[in-house]
Amino acid sequence: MIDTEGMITVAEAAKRLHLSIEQVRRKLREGKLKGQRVGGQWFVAEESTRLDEDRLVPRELLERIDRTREAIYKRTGITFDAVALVNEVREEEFGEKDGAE
Amino acid sequence: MTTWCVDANVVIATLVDEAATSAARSFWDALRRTDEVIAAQVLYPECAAVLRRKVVQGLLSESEGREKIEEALDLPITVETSKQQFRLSFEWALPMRRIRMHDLMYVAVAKIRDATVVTIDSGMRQAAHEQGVAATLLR
Repeated sequence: MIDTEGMITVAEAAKRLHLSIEQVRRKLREGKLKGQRVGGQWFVAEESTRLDEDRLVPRELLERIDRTREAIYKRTGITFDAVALVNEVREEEFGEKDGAE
Repeated sequence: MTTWCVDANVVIATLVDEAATSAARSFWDALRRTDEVIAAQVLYPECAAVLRRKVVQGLLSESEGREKIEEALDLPITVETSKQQFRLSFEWALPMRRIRMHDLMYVAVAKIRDATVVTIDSGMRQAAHEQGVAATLLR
């Protein structure tokens, strides 16, 4: 059985978000809205359509970060390792060696 | 009100492409005005140091580095300023030999503010659990 609990149609999501149906579909394809395809039809996770005024992080900020992150990936092709990067600076700039006594 | 204590790994994973980027983005996306995000005072020095290194290594341009700094600063994170974070993390670290003080500062902030640590580092999660602090590992 297909579970669509907590999911709404693309048309309903478009209405709530004040977007066109095509804009909602694009956001689903790009992973910027949560959803799933059921029988060839997209459904949108209702939680991801909550009105912007209820959000702690403005949607525009996350989309700006997405754009710059994707541009960097497109140019460099590099997937970074954040844990290693942070541990590297802790060790080399703050003298915090992992496991050091 | 739910309070979350993010570490530098989560912020870096949000800013640049990383295995945990999708999970980090979902974390920010799911936050509501009833949530609060806090961090230890070492957060921004760590993030800035990581980004500067990537610029020096030529992996980020200077303008990309500046953009990423601004994005990090635009995230709604309140840096905990109480001196207690240093006192507590120092006391915890004294008997330990195999742990970084920086990890414990985030854990101390979470303890002081009754927050849940949010990290992509399993070592950080372990450090939190050892101090009886709730922690979520983003995957």
